[in-house]
Amino acid sequence: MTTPASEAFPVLMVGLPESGKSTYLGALFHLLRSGAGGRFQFAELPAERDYLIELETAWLTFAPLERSRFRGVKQVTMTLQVADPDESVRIDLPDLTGEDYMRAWESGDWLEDVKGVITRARAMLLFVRADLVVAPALIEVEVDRPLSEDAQPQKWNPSEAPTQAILCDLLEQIEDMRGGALPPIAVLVTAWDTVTEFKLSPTEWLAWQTPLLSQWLEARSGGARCRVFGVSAQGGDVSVDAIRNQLARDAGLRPIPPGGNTLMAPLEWLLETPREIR
Amino acid sequence: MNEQSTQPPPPPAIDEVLREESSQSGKPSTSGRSSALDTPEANVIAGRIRPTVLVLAGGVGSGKTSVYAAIYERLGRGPFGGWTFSGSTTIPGFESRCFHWRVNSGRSSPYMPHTSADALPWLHLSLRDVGDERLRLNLLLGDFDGELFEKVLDGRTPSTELPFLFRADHVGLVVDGDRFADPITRAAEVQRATDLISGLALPGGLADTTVLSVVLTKLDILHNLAASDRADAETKLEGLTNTISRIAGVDVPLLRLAVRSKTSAFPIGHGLEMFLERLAVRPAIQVGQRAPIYVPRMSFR
Repeated sequence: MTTPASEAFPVLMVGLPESGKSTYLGALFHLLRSGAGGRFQFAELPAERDYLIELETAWLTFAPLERSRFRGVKQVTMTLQVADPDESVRIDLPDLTGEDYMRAWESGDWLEDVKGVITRARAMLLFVRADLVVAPALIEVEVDRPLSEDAQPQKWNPSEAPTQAILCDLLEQIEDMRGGALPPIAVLVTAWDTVTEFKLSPTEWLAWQTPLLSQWLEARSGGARCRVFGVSAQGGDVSVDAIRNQLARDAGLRPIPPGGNTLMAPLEWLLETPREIR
Repeated sequence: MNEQSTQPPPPPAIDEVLREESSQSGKPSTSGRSSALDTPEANVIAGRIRPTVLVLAGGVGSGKTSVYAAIYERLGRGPFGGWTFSGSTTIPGFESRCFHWRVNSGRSSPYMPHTSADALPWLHLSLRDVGDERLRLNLLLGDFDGELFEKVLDGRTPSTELPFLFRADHVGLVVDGDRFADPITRAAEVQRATDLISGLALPGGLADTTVLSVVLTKLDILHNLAASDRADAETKLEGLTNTISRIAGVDVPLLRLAVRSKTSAFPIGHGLEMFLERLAVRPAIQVGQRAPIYVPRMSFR
């Protein structure tokens, strides 16, 4: 059951810098307005289309995004027409920068408008970029590693903490701000194309690469309020000329990597999550 | 090769650096949430969720912080001992403590900085039973400066003046395996542990002596001893456990840990499964309910 257009459906996007939030928005905008959004298409074009077109253009041309030049919340509202059942839904998808989330981890500093988005959200998209996971790698013991002349032990720098620790802490802060209640969470493992060689499902990959986060989510939801998706907005490694040229031939319709999901799948699941557990 | 170039560089003044880090480890400006909790903050958690309070009592460098850090580090690699991670209000505190075990610390071997006297003491960790059969284990872990317990063992601070000890559901009397493994310091370590139990077991110090465990840290070092020396160490360890049990008036279990060994025979968190099994027993000892006699399901020797 979706939410009627008269009632907004606010979705919180959470992710660290370069985790793919804005790329996802740009690709989503393109899919929806080109009629490739499955059961969903725009009922009307979003008011913020200048911003979305900027993201879409960057996505279509494989150009890097500079989302972080805007600090704070970039409001995006999409009113969608759903084919089956025939109804419309208004989704608020405010775009927050990864830098805002890093600041919250490092200093506890949340902007007031970000806090507002967090407390209002009825669903969450949590972005974990598959090829940018910082793991808590332990020093190997019994390995002879002569120190180089300039070797110096480092001080702990929270900005270099493991991805799973930062995301768990952010989720705990968000949970606190919401009085202990979290909305349903769709975890998007982005750049899914970079990890298909392991032949794991997105859920298995998350448990393998970010076990702390996986346990945290499982403890909250028991699985029912959280689902993991593997998505690839780019469709492949666009830093490789041959792949980029191949993708450019049909830039608006990127392939879904093996074991992955469509870009619409996470939103569709969130919209169809029964209202009583949102 | 130039002989001079094969020499490791002189040790950096890292202790000073770490002291600076740990002295601000209460609420450092370098992290959003608390690295640790002060007592009023711990009380807020205690008021909400009835946590299991654990205090490891032992001297400076005996391995107390490493035990706490290793529980988190093991969970960061997946569920273990039948428990999964379900949250922590002090993730930055665990991260900063585990940092010197990790590759990006720039170190060539694991290290744990000493906990300073002014650091906030309480770490929080919430665990969920894998099978959802047992209650959640909400741990408040007291990471106190070892100097505090030096004062208890030599009588400068009566344990009755440390109210967190009375609240503790579990008190681990830490025996430093490194000092115990060394024949020169072994007798002194036995004496320190005996003095510490005498200080802790003062009337009104603990809610009940059934909260006590003997926690042998750095088991790996003991394991590396020659057979005859190890046999002597084991005999002395048994004798010490008996002495502690006699003073406590109950059988005090011995738990053996090697949580961050420098040898690969002992993986990260060795022995913690048994340790968590012990922590899962949580009678209301403060209101007179005694803990059952602990019979371990597994043993690490």
